[in-house]
Amino acid sequence: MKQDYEAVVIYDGILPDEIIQKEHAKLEDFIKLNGEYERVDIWGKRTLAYTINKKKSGVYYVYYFKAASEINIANKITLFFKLNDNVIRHLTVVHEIQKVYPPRVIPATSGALSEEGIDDYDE
Amino acid sequence: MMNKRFSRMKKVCWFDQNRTEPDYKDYKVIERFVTERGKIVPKRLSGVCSKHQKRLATAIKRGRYLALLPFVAENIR
Repeated sequence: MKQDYEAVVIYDGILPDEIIQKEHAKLEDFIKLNGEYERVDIWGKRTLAYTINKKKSGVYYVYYFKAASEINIANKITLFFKLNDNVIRHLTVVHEIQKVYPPRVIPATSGALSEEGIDDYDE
Repeated sequence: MMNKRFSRMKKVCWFDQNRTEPDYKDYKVIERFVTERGKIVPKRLSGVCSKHQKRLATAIKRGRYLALLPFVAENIR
């Protein structure tokens, strides 16, 4: 069964753009091999909330893709980034598509019900 | 009659009100439910419903791992 995934990858902020682009292209090819690549969101350079291996900033990339749930893509990406010093952190999770909620309907008799509820606290 | 000293406004879940779900990527929303020290605010204080509090906790933990939120505030580290 195919499932939607999202992967956040933080590349080292000190690296020049060319190396980040290379790493980005490598990961794109890897995802295309293992599933359906959809899109990427580039957040750009951000200061980290805490230092990771003495690094203070990172470049955030968010990848969206589809993959079969049987092949365990999260483990594969972990193996792919093993011994790669250019990547500070990465996280692959199932992408939950936000529901579009219908407009809120407020029941007309809500006031009378709540007053009855308060009376229970009398004693 | 209800005691006035203990009467409170009924809290409404922020996520129900705004019709959204907690997501680790909107760190600006999630930041409101974290104390100055970086702890998760309990639902009895924030008024978030049980369903969303559970999802919010997961989102905060993911945000911490990705260095979007601090584990501990900088001044007490």
